[in-house]
Amino acid sequence: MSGKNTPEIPKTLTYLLVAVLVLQLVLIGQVASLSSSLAAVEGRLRSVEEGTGVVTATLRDIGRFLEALGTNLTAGTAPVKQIPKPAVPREFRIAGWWPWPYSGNPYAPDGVGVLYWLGYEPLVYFIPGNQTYIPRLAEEWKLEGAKLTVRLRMTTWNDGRPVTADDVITGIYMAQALWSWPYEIKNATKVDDRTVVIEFEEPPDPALLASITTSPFVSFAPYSIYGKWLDRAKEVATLGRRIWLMQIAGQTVPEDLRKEYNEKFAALRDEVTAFDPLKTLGIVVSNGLYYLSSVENDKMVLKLNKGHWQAGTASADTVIVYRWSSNEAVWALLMAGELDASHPVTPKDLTDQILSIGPKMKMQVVSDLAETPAVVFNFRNPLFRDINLRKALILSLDRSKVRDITFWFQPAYEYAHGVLLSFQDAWLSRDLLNRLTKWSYDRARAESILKAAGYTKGSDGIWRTPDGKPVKFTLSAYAPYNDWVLAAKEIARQWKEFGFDVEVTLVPDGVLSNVEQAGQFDAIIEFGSAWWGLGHPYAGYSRIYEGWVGTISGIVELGLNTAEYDTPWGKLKPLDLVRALALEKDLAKQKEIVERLAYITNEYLFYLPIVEKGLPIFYSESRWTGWPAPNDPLWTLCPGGIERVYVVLLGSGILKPVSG
Amino acid sequence: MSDFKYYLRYAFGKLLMLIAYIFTALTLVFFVINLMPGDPAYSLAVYYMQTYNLKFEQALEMARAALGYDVSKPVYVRYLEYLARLTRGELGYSLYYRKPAAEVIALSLPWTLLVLILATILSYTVGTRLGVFAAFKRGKAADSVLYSAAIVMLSLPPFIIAVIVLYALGVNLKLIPLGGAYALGVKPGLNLPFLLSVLHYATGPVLAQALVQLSGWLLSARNVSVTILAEDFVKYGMARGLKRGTLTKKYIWKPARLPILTSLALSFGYMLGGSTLVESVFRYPGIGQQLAQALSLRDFGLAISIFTIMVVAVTLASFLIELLYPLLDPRVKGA
Repeated sequence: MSGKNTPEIPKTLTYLLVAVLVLQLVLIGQVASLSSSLAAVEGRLRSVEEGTGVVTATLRDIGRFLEALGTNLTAGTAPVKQIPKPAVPREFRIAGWWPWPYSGNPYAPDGVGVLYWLGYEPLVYFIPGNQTYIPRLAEEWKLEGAKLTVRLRMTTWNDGRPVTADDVITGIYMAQALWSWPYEIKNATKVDDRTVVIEFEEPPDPALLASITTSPFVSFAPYSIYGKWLDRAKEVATLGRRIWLMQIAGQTVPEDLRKEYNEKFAALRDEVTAFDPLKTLGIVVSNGLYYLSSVENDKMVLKLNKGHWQAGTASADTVIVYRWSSNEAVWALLMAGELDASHPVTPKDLTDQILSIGPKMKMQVVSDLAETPAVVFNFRNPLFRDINLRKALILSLDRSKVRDITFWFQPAYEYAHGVLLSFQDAWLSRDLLNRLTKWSYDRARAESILKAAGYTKGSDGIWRTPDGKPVKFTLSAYAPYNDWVLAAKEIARQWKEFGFDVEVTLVPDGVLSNVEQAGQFDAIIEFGSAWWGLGHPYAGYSRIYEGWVGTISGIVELGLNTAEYDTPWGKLKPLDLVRALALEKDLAKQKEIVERLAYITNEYLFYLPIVEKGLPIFYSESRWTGWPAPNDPLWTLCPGGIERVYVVLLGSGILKPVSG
Repeated sequence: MSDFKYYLRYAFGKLLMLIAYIFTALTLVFFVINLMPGDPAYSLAVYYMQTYNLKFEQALEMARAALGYDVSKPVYVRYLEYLARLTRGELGYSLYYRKPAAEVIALSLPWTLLVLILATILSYTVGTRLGVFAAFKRGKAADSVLYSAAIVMLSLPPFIIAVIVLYALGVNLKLIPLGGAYALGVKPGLNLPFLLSVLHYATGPVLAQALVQLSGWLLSARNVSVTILAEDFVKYGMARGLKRGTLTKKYIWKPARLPILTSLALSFGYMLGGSTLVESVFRYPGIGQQLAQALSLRDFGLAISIFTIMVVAVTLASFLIELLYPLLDPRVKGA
């Protein structure tokens, strides 16, 4: 039989099926939309009804006004009455993350997600850009030696109860008991309902003070709910502190003390972390500008806390948070105009696409207060202990090319001094900068340094050390961070071209800290100097010389931070400088110390910074107006909690809904 | 022995194999997850370190304490505890959520099942029909177009298709919602607006999953149909002048559906695996997203529980199809 025996029924059936299915989907969509629209219409009708009520009331007011006018005309005066304006939408839309299922328990391992800054108040906010404090829960405070006296604002929890000293004290002890932090607080006592005295073991250094006063942990445990655990928390905290103090003093901790602590801690932890406020109480009690109204996996709705001290000036009644399940989902929401602000990292072409939505879509780049990508060396590998090789590595790398494929909107680095580029002028003098070596891309210079140090290039084009070993190492990058992976590939490519045998290896998801902690890398892409939380160079240098970078790179283990280095001011030890910086209160002296650290870091290349990470913040002026100017220091509050910027802008009414 | 007794023997044999498959698969899953590098406390430690400006060792101690994770228990002890729990019908415990894994999974599993069932029906119905059509049109333009399109679609990972569907149909054409489970303002419950909204919001993930599988069904149906079309009984049917519809329904479709049907369980399993990325693109609250998070956080209890559900679901689906097979294919029944 010929191939013309094409069955009509299957063909018809197929077309019919496809058409029916597509029609069904569209119909369902339309009906669903219609249904939602009907619900919205119902809502609108209700608003109209309310509006009608307003109009009626207004007409009544006008009537009374006219009556009064009539009366006053005879008396010679005419009172003026305001006619209420129609309401404009006061809904602010952002994207965020929260654990699901959601309990609203701040002590659960995954915490409260995006509610952290929107729902809970720290004592203060600290603006790194101008090093100033914005009082939040603390209306006033005074530090005298080791005692911090805090006067609390008059404000309430979203359940209407006033925030008191008991709440703050409960928050402090719960944190000490469950997180073993901050043990530096010896005790917290109530002077009156609005005054707390926090006593430290010794006068707190600026870093400690900043981390305690800017964290909302003091607001996590309203006494009315968590007070039932307070006595046990104090007991566990006391035991834990005793152990901690003994460890600091180098004493052996008695086994029975440790056993008692472990048992009491485990019992408290299991009870508190199993507590589900949302399920048990039907409400998550918080004292922030917004409180949790409803939460699903894909969206969270927050409402204005009417008892908050800024409720009267707040410009948004509702904050809607869409789940940040992936960057792709957030990009889609931005492009569709569904978000008022968000901060996903985007490649250049996508940024252009988002900004092309309309003239009201803007982008502000703020410093994320960290350098990344940065190359951290593992000094346990003898290769990297040669300063000449490190110099050659930085000179043979065109850092602007790496910048182009990562944070393309940021300026390129010339130095490697450890002070964030956007704060360079604030901390480093021109005189100091003139003394520093500029590590601009210069392959010829890199070659001459290597040759002068005894390196040779083999016939295979690979450099060899003075003792004949090939310069061969791996450059690791964390696989889920695609900007780090791209950076590693570009860096490796350039180094390979120059003559280093570099292989990129990827660190699988979830094991980065394991790999780094175990020193299972030669060189790795990481954050370099990071000023999170403090916005101060101390944070960056502490990280390099005694913190995470110092630990994983072997700087601490090998004593590289306590060795002496030649500087124009004589021989100096980086760790001593970092410790001095932690305690120095005078700004001019702080700058001197920072300059010395900058010199050592730049000249001895303990790590290789590429670019200062910029946080691109997309914001739309379609629905909200009053966004700060690009150079407003408030933007520097973004890193570590962009929601704080929203709280400031919405709470003070700086950001206003566009009317009409 | 009667047919029924033979069938019972057959079913019992399949049941024993099912138990063996499930046991083997779950053992593999358990050891693969538990031997994964990574300590559940590490991710949390990094979070504490950055949030509270702590040294890593302190943050790690805090994290271990918060999770109550006992690193000292050997993996074989944990395996035996796992088997004991399974026999009691318990799935496991989530380190991060501090509650039974079943409670956590119960919130997300229905959403994934909804998408997978709809996607399976859509892709199977349309894909097989198109495949049979392509077989009849073999060598012609229609066959080439369908075949090429199917090959291209099959080579694209579900994640890419999900992104294309989201941007093309959601952002640009505004035909589907941009993600989520249902519209804002709709009250969840047994009410029409909610149910319609749920179906509406499932469109994106359903389309993304269905488009991937549709190509697979198309190619399977086409290839099987081409073989059957070459059989003598089909040619005889054509020669007898049987109507084309009858030919397809009685001569081609009956034998063609059997090998295709056996792929149903595999297809379901494949879609389940792909749901992780599809759900994160569409912000869909399914088990895929839950699994991705559990693995990232090294919440072993939750991750193993989710895999347990997946393994059991896929093997059960396969088992049911195997039970149906003799009823559908007289040749197997006879044997």
